[in-house]
Amino acid sequence: MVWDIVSKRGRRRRSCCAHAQLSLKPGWLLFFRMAADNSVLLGLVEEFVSGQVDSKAAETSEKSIVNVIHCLSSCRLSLTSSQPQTRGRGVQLLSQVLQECYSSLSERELEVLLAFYENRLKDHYVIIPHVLQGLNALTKCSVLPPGSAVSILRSIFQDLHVQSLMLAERSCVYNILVSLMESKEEELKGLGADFIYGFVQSVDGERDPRNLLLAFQVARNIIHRGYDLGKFVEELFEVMSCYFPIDFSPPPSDPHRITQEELVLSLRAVLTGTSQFAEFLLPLIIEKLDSDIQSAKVDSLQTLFISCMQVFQTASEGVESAGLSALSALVSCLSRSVLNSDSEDVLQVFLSLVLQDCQHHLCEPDLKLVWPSAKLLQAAAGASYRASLIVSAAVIPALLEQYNNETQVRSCLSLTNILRTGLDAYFFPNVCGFSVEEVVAVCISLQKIAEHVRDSEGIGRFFHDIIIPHLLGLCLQAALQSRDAGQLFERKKQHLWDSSCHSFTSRQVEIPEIDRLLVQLEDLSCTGPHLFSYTFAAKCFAGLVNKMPAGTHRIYLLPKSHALNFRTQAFTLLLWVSKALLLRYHPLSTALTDKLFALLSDPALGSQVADGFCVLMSDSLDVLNRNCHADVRIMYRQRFFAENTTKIIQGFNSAEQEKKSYYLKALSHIVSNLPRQVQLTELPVLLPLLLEALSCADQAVQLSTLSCLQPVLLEPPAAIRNQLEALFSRLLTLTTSPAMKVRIASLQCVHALSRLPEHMVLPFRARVLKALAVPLDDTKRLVRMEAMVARGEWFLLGSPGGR
Amino acid sequence: MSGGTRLENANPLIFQRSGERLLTATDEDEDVADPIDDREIFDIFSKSINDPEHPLSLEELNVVEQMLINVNDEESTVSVEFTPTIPHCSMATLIGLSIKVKLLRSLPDRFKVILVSSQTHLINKQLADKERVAAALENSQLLEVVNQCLSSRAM
Repeated sequence: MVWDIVSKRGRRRRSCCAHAQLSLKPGWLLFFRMAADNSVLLGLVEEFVSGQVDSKAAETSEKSIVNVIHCLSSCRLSLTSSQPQTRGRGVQLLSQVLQECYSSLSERELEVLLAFYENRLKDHYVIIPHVLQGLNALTKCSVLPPGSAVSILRSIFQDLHVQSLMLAERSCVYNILVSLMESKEEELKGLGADFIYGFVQSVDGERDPRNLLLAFQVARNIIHRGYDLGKFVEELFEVMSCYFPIDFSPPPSDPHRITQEELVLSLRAVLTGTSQFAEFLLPLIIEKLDSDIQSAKVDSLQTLFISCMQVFQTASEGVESAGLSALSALVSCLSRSVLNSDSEDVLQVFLSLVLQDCQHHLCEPDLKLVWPSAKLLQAAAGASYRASLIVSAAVIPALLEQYNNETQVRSCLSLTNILRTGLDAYFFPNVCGFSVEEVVAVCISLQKIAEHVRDSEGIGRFFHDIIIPHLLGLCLQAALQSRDAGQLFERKKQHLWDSSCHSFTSRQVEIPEIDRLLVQLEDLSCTGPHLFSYTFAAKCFAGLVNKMPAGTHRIYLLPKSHALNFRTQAFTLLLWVSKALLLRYHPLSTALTDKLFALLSDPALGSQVADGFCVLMSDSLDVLNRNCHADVRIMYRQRFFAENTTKIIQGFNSAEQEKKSYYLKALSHIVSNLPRQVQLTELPVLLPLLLEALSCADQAVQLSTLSCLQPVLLEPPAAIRNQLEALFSRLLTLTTSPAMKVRIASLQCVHALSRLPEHMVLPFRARVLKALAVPLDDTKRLVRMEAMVARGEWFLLGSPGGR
Repeated sequence: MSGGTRLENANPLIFQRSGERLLTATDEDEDVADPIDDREIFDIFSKSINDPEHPLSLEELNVVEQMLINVNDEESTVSVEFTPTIPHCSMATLIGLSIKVKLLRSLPDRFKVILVSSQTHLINKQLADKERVAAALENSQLLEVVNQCLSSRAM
């Protein structure tokens, strides 16, 4: 009953009491008079009010409504005093009590109290701190009456100039805001832009870090909870952004231990919280990037990055692409920054932030974010060599894992885009300071990816259209660059070639600018000083030539006129190109191989050419084979052999003695690579030549002849019967050759001969057994073993119980 | 020896074939001489002698153990002590003879071969006697069996 009177009166009074400063309203006085009997409390209160004894009174009036009322009544004198300090003490006591017991107040009680407190905001400035404390407590109540939040804030904004208050009071204001936003969000939103404006006014100029944290929290709430910023977007941004970038050194005695990090992150969440700030934020960041202070730079970058992430929340493509270009430009700029030994690598810091965020999304099952993350990574990687290497190195292992799972085509495409731009980083391995091993590792990764995407049409095409030309160009450049480098580097480069060759030869491919490529390869292969470079250049060239479509005319001027020291290179190229054309039965191949035969007589190159026939005839592992989808026609060896046997024999017959061995070597290479059947059918024609070869002093010739003879002897044709005498005598002679390998090979041939029909070879048995006794005592064990095995077989030949 | 209805040693203990001798770098060096050693002699047998009743190598049957081979290249002597799978006389003689023949065919002429059986001492004297061995080998049936023992499985 009493309450009703008071509250009604209170309400009525409130609306017309804007200027009442010193006196309480009559209704209050009535109330106080009626509840004036608690003299003990009164005494304490008086004590409190007049003196410095704060705590006793507050403790005494503990957590009950009655006590509050008693307190109120006890304070009545003080609250109505004409002395501001006295009034202040009274309010202080009341506030302290409220702080203890606010949670047990009912809504109607709150109404009364709120009315009182709001009103007191107009009072003398010494009272304000206590008023605010009381309000702070009250606003924490969960049962705030409707409309009170708005009313409180209006009063605060109208009656107070927040920045003129002391630190603690300002904290109270912010805390009030926070509390009200928690419990009365809808109501506050109803305030519309006034709320924003009021807040901006309150915060403008705040310097205390604890308060700033609170202010940032309020701002974050405003932004994230969808408060309408109205026409105060820029104002809100301004008042927040003036603190950016945060430069805060906590005092050593700071009991709250606020870190710069906390402030930075808190502010960043505000600035990047809404796309409405974007137009203001970007210029600011760009301006701040010029700062000399490292941490400012880093902060700017990280803020920018976070805002880029927000970019993808919007649907606008224009904004998105602008954001990506900004990111690119940014990374590019960072990459140019000079590294000091004691400063952070800004690029590294930034990119690790980018990667941290994006990689996480790349690997998530939620594919929605894969595409945006990939685009971000691509923008970052595409900006500079260093960036692309850093990004690629981090992303590729994740990529490879992803390829092992099912992934969307689009995301794969964008990921490989990253790789593509990363390739440019390998342009100058030395200059960039990256080791070739790293480069090679990435090439190998690319190769693995190529294998994975083999079956996928879209990705495969993309990969080959974009990645391979890059690879080729880079290989060439790298090779040309390193021409003067040492041998060690060459070996490393070989790996690079290997992997890139693998990558690019993995499929039929249209190579753009192939002419230019060929010219460069040709140049390199003809003039490169190092074995690896010119050999691999020649191989690449040949690989390309082999796959070129029919009808393309290229006349190769055979490099006779090259200076002596480059003839080897020229010959290498000739050899590989011949092979390339030979494999596909190209008509020009004849001209080239004829040239090769002619070169067998060349004083300087003859031996190399003879060995080169091995290359011509045998399968090459890395290029011009079926795995590389080279154009290889069946039976090219037989065809070559059939077309050229006569030539070889004639050449041999007409050659000078010293040169004969080259012909024989070439012949033995050709024959030994023929399929067995062909060997057998051709042997009658060649046998005289092979026997001749066995008498040749050149050990290499002997060896190659023996090795091609032996399999033939295992299934010898009838024609051999006429040659046995020669064969045996030559072979047995060779069992005592100075070269161990020759001895072994000839013993193997003798062993093989034991398998001929008995009637053919039996006559030779005694001679063989006697001759083989010698190598039984050879100095080398391997020879002895062969001799023992062969002799054992010959013993069994024609003997009872033998085979 | 042929056509026995019952194998005299139906279940010989089979020993693991010791691995191929590993090649070392010096083996392929022309300029380094490899002396003849015990293992080499052993490998002569492990590769090519069959126990007539059991088509496994003698090594697998543990007829001849490496440790029982002693070769001295400089002095051109080799002594082999072999353990027949069963101490039965006839088989032991045959195995002994096969081993002897193999050694004769496989070693340079300069070597003096001493072959003893660890268990059946009776045949040792026979094996030591060159003329007896030569005479035995002129018996074509005996030779046939010996040759069969010596036929390489690999072919």
